[in-house]
Amino acid sequence: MSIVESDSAAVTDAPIVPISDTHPAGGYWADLRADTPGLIGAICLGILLFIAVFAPLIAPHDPAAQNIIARLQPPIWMDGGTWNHLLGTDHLGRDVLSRLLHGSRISLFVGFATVLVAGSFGVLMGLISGYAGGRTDQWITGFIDTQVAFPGLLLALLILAVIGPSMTTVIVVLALNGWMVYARLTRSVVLGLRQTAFVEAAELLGCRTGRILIRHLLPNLAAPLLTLGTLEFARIVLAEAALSFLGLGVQPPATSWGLDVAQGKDYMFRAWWLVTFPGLAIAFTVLAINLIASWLRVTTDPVEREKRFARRFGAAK
Amino acid sequence: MSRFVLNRLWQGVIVVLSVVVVVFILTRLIGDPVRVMLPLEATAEQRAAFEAQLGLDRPIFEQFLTYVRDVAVLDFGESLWQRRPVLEIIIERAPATLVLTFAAIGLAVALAVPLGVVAALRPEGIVDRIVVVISLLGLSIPQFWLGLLFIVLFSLTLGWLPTSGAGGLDHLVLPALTLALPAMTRLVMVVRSTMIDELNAQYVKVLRAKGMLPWRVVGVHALRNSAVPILTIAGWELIRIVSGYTVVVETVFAWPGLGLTAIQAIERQDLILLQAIVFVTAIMVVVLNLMLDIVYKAIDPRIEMSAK
Amino acid sequence: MRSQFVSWCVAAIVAITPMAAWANDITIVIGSEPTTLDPHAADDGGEKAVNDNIFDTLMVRDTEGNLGLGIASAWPTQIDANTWEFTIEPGIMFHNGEPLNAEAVAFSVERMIDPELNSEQLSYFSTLSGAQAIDDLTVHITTSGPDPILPARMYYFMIVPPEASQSEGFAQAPIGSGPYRFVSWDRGNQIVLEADPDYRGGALDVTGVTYRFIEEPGTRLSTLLAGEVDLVTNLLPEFMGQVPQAASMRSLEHPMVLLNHDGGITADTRVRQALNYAIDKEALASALFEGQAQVEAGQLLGPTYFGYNEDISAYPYDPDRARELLAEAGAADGQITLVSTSGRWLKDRELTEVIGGYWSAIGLDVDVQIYEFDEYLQRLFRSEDGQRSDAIFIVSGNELLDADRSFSAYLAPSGFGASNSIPQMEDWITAARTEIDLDRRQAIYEDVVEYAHEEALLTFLLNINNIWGMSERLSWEPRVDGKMFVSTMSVE
Repeated sequence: MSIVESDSAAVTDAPIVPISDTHPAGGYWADLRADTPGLIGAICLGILLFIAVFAPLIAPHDPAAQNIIARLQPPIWMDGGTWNHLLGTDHLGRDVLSRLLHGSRISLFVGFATVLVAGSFGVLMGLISGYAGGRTDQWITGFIDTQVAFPGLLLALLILAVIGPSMTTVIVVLALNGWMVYARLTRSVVLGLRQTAFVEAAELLGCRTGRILIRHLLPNLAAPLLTLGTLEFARIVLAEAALSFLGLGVQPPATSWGLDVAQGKDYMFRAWWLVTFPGLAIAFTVLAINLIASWLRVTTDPVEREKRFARRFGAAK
Repeated sequence: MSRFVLNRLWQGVIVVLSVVVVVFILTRLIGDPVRVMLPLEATAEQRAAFEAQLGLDRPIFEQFLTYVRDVAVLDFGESLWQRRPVLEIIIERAPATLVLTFAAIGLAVALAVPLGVVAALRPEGIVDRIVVVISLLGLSIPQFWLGLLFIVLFSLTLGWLPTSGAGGLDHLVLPALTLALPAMTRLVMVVRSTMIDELNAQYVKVLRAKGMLPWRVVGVHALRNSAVPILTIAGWELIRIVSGYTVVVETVFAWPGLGLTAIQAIERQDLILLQAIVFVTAIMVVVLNLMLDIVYKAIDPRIEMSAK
Repeated sequence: MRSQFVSWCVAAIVAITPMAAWANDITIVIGSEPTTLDPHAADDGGEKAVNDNIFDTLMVRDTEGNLGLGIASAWPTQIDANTWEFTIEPGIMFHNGEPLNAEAVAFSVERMIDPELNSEQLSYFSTLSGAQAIDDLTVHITTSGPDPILPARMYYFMIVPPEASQSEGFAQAPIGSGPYRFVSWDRGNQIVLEADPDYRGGALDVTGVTYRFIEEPGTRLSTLLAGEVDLVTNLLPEFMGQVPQAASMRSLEHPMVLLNHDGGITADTRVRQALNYAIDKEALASALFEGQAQVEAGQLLGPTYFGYNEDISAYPYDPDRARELLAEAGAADGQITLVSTSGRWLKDRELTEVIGGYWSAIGLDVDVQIYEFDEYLQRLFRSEDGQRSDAIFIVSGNELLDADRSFSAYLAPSGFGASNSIPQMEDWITAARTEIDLDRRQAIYEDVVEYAHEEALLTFLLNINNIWGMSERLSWEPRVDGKMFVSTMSVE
């Protein structure tokens, strides 16, 4: 998975279709229940959100509280493990489980914040571009094409080196590198709508294009944006972890899974639990989000849905 | 064709120029270059000399022109960390990154094509489900963590491969595999879906009806028709890797390429070296983009001059 | 660039199996790659680790740090206040055939202090002002003022061949007179040396050595565990039981905390003493460093340093006494700021946070601030207005094994890291710096130590060990100065 540049180009090529088709027949919930992997992903993400919100209440210890005497204790099921520290302690005697629970906050917060910032800016640019057309459109598209061809990660490293790493900088840098996909998607939806017969008809009848577009735009934009945002979310959780691992992301005393892997890897051969648990946490989170994304992609795309239906039907036969 | 190439070249020039502008703004306007680039212990004379060397006493526009002129002849200045020309360091380190990159993309394609084809033969069958699960996992596991797991498994437990550094082919295996995996998983999905479409096409049924052997239908006809989308995605993956993907993997495996050098430069506050790595990478990305565009055009002349 | 690329590809294809190494070749992993191999240019550990085996010095030290003769044939004598006379062993040759004579030594001194070279090592050799060859084997080294520790400085001064060192490629392919000869440097990857078959010290057991550079301690360790290398530096104490062999030795590093004598809560002597009583140094040594550290004897100096005061010992751990002192000073629940950095020294963050914990335990409100190294330096260097943080964590490393280096930096008010303005300290330390009578010099340092200890100008902590991980086949005795002389290693 790429660290900074977007992987979600495919979504932006989604065809524009009449509104009703983007909704599954029995509603999202019924459709989700029929899709086992998607359901599993949604449940996992729900649990993660719960943990992130209530981490201070659930966590047995303060994630920063150290106890030098009780350092590098193994998890409960190994020799020397104690009930006090279910997943053991790190090199400063901090509780691994508590750090894991608190780490979810950073991962999910950076993910949400980045998607929100990049998404808002991208959608805005896409609207301007698609709505205004002409010169403005050319400029914005040119700008997007140029930035897409940037060496994103390295430029991000340069920004982090100049400004100094922090959670805010990470969000800004990741958003800066991720807004283009939203802009492209929005622009293509706007352009697609403009060419539909009913908009052309309305224009002929003297209705103002703006009103029509706005009325029909959001419903058409919502589904693909949701899919794109989810895919981006997964990418950003990985990107934050990677930047923190490199020491350029979240800084201690804050906790982040990527940071914990980086700190734990020096002790990897004596205390495997320091690297293993945060790594699994990242993989688990990203997997859950990816499952939801792939369900969303199929569900909101009638072509995909049809293919799936045909395959199931064929298989049943 | 030549108009096509010229146009793409022009786009590339714009990209490189934009990178120059962005880097200039970042290092000269946002950060105080003397504070950011010189060590704190630097004496007053060193500061003055450095200011003069960068021409910081002159108007900003003039500074920019000088800057562009130096970059144009690949004169990036002298590394603060190694006290020698930055270009020298880059020329030393770039081959390692390129070797790693091409090994990874080669590995990704070599693994993705057979896996994707096998999965496509029976969509929703057991093999297909396994392939889909593997590729979902491949997209979800953080690369740095995977690299550490590989070291523990293949180097320490099994003792098959070296842990780190560069040397023979054996040193290349683990970093290339780690780097290849996410690209491979995305490629598998593309191969799988294009092959599913292809195998449902009318001509396949005709060929099968005519009695052509299944492997020949799949291996020669269907795969050949899927080549363009597969190559397109492989090209994207290649560019993605070049544009900074290698940093994490090089750090984990102490692979002496540009990515590791970039991290070392950050640790030593050597922004002169870091910005040069950014430039060179931008140029590599642009050149690769251009080459890929030309290749696609050669394969499929219908490709429009669309703004991808 | 293209030829590099091609050679890379060829190397990758041809060398499928690891290089067939000679039985007596070894591989050493160090933390950072040298930036140059010019022995006079840079102050970096990687360069020293390699060049220590290529070049000779006038003076040497034994494993415990006692000074001895290197290529000097007799103990140097101070013939007047500003001149030292050295005589050197006859018949020594550089690897390229140039003779190592008085001329070469004089040339090396002049080269080091040449402003053109702009050497980063000048802080070690700032007193040098010139050198003159008197005859073939006698050389006079002059200093800008009396310098009683010039012989100790000469342990770090490498002698270069006059002709070869003026050629373009010297910094990439150095030529010395030591036991090992330079073979190749594959930037970013490795440096290879081979034993000099004509070495005057006789046959060498290790026939060749390859240096690799790995910054990550975990990656360094894994190369050793995988059996790829023979010696790795800076092993974490936690892994001593896991590597085939580990060697550990008291190092020159003394972690400590500078306490602000001039203002804030720490201006009161009783508070500074309380901060010392509050810390359980035994527990730090045994738990955090797993026994690989000693409690430091309350003076910032090791027993073999010049200026060590045998009568002073560490503040005992006595939290009750600490609380009493705080109460007397009216600072029972005072606030204190502790400034530190991370990733610079072994376990720096851990140590800082634990110290903060001990201070909280005696009732203080501790604000631990951990900064990036350059921001940290801004707080460490004494500013013009004299504003200092209450407490600054630092690790002092004294390569000269002489009190002057540590005290000038951290106790003399003019020092870059000093947190006091006591005129008496400045007077003592300045006087001792140029005192030629060794007994009188020792007496002054003992006064300084006693005063600094009584006034608790620092929080004295530990002396930590250097730890090396070694392969099964390597035998080697580590040294207090941390140097890795391959000529003292052997393999089975």
